[in-house]
Order: sequence, then C-alpha cells, then structure tokens
Amino acid sequence: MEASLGALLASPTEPPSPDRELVIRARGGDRSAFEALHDRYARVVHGVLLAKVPPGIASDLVQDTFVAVLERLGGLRDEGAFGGWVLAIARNLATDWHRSSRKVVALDEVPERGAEPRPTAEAEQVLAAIRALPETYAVPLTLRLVEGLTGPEIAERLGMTPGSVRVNLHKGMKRLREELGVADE
Amino acid sequence: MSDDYLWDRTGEVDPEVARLEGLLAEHRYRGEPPRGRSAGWGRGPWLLAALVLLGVGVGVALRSMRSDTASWGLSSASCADCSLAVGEWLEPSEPTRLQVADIGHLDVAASSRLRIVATGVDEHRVELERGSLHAMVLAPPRLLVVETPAATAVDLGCEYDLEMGADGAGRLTVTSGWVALEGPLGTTTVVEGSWAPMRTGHPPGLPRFLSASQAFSEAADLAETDPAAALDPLLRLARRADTLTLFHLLPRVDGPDRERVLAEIERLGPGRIDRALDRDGVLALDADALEALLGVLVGCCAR
Repeated sequence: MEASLGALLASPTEPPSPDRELVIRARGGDRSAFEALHDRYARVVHGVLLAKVPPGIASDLVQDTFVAVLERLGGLRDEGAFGGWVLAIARNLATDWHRSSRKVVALDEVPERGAEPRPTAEAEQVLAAIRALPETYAVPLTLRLVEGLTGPEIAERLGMTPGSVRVNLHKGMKRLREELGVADE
Repeated sequence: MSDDYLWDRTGEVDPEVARLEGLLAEHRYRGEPPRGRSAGWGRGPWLLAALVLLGVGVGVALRSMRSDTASWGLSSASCADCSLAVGEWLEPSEPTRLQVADIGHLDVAASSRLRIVATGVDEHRVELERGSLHAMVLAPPRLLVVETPAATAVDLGCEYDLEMGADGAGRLTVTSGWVALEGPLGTTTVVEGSWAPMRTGHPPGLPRFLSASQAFSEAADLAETDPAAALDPLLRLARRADTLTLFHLLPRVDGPDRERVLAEIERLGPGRIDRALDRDGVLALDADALEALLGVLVGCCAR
C-alpha cells in the first residue's frame, strides 16, 4: 500500500480552480459569487475547525470566518490563493478562541450553542478521538467522515496533492481505529 | 481491504468507515452564508449600524460590569486589607498578594519592586522593576500587561511566573495558557509548559519546554548570540514539542537556513504545510502565516 501511495505523491495534479473568477466577481459586489465561494469552502472551513474546537464553536467560527472574508476580500492579492487564505483565517480564529477560553472553561465543558442537536455520546467520543490525532490526520478525516467530501475534493480544496491526502487519510483512519479499539481491516 | 472506499467511495464498502460516516453526519455543516456589506447587497448599512450599536451596547455593559478603580486590594501576613494606588511603588518585605481589579491576582515575592502603571477596562498595566511574581488571570487576552526592563509580558489568558534580576536578566515560565513576551527588538510567544529567558537590551530569548534536554536548552541560549552556530545542534536535538522553539528560530536565520528550520518543523510536526498554511508566507515571515503556523504547532505538538 505504501509503495502505491508513494507513486501518487510523485504525480500531483493541478485541476483548474474556479476560485479566481469567483473572488473577482464577489469583490465587485456579486452576491451569487460570494455564495458560490461559501458553498465551495464552508464545509472545508467547518471540517478544519472541527478538528480543533468543539462542534457548536466550530459552527459559530465558520460564520465568523466568512464575515471576515467579506470584510477583507478586497485585500486578497492573489485571487487563486483564496482556499489557503480562508483556511488561515479560520485557523487564526480557532487559535484566538483557544487563547481566550483557556482557564475559563475546559474544552469538553463548552456548552453547545445555536440550534444544533446535542451529539450522541458515541459521536462525541469519535470526534474527540479525531481531535486528539495530529492535525495532518484529523483535518482530512473530519472532511471525509463528517463533511462527506471525497479524497480528491479534499486535495483540491486544501491545495494538496491527492497522494499526500490519500496517505493521510489512510494513516489517520488506521490511528483512529486503534484509538477506538476497532480491528484494522 | 483496499482503501478505495475511504478515498472516494468506490470499491468495496468499508463497514467501519460507513458506520462512522453515518454516526458523524449530524455534524455536517449546513449553515448559510452571512449577509455582508459589499456593494449592491442591500442590507449592508443596516447590518453595520446594528453592529456598531451592538458594540456600543456591549462596551457600556462591560464598563458598568468591570471595576475601574485607581487602586488594587493588597494582602499579606501583616496587612489583611490594604491597597496599592496607581503609581505607588510596592516593595514588600514578605510575600504579598495584589488583586488585579476583578480579573485575577499577582503574588509578589518579598524584596520585589513593582507599581501599577495604569488600570482600566481595556488594560491593567504593571511595572516589575526587580524581583518575581506569579500571575493568575481569568480574562480575555491582553488585559494584563507586566512591563520589565527587559521585555513586556502580555497575558493571553493564563498563569505564569515572571522573574527579573537586578542585573537585567529575567525569565518567564508559563504554567497555563499563553503569554506574549514583547520587546522593542522582537516578540516571543511562550506557551504552557515552556519558559523563555530575557535580558535588557536584547530581544526575548527562544522559548523552550521545561522538558527539553539540557543540551537543547544550551543550544537555544547560543542562538541568542550566534544563531548560525546553534542551528545544527538545535535541529539535531529537537523533539516534536521543540518545534515551538524552532518556530521562533525562523526570523533569526535567513535563506537556506530558514528553509532547513521549516523543513525540520514540518518533519517533526504537521508534515508538509503546503498552501493550506501559506508556506511561502512563513518563509517570508508574513505575520498572518506565522500566526497560523504557530496555532497548528500548538495544536499538534505542544504536548
């Protein structure tokens, strides 16, 4: 398995991204272009956040992220770099949240906000296990298992090679099975 | 079993992957895009006005909730209910607790010299000329600032020990949360379980974990005066947690050396960071890119 994955790493693909045109249109006031960017990245942003903060907080921070996008889109120099840029905003917000919430409330004690249903105990346990993994594994696993993206979609949105995403999904799932006490297939 | 199903849902269904998909689907994001103030979107001015009004309201509420007194409560074995006014120097002969408005306290060691520079709703600022203190703060970031001759400790929501010697050398040790150690020649972020040296007239030193080896810590000290000579031992001795130290080495080295440091951070920590973290931005010392990388390193490696 490792050898074939290694071969994939050596042959990255760069599909054309529609981000550049959408960013230019959104910057010009085209609401539908902004919504298209939101559709393309909201779940990715949520998945990245969910790998770092509790679920109710992640949803709030997605909104904060896209509010920040609205405010700062005019300052984005390379329209094609929108994906990395929006994820950097999200990571910064997660970092700020961790800073501001330390010593105030423990991560596991954060109350759910909004109208989201309280997760089942098992879902909570699985999410906690994913969050405990290195981010390299936690983010693609969250995007695959929670947000429902496929590996190629994850690679395209994160700006990574399909090979490295596949390796991380494979290794991350192996680690998750170990954490959950499930035998590897 | 092939991992094709995990990859793109083709091939034989992996039952555990399918079970987790079902279990976690309830957390999938289904939110709507926020309404903004971009031209032509119609509701912008009203939203902006509402936000401004909300901000004013929150500001008024916070102002009314927080004490804004010109003195802080002070207690010690010989003085149970004393106070220290803004500008007045405290030179206790015994351990003394200073109540920082309503956000926490400072335990000041005997023979220290300290005064309150300012206290208000936005910031509480203290000057520690010499001695040591233990700070415990439950508040949003940047509310408590402690100036010393060598650097300024900016609380980011945490608990820490700060020592300042009469010779101009000091040390910050963080036991919980984060502290930014800011000076005219640079800033260091010190996270829980780590410490950083400081010296008057020099930028704050490289932070390192209390668990770091003696050899690694000595190499970190060497980096203050000769980063090039410290590079090899730091890279050779670094553990996963020490990526936080290597992170602070990035602005101290140039060109290929900076590439080497980042490559070692990636190898020990999160792996190749690619565009998702703006690798070029990190190498160019872009503040946002560095901030994002620091957040990732704290998440993945500071354990």
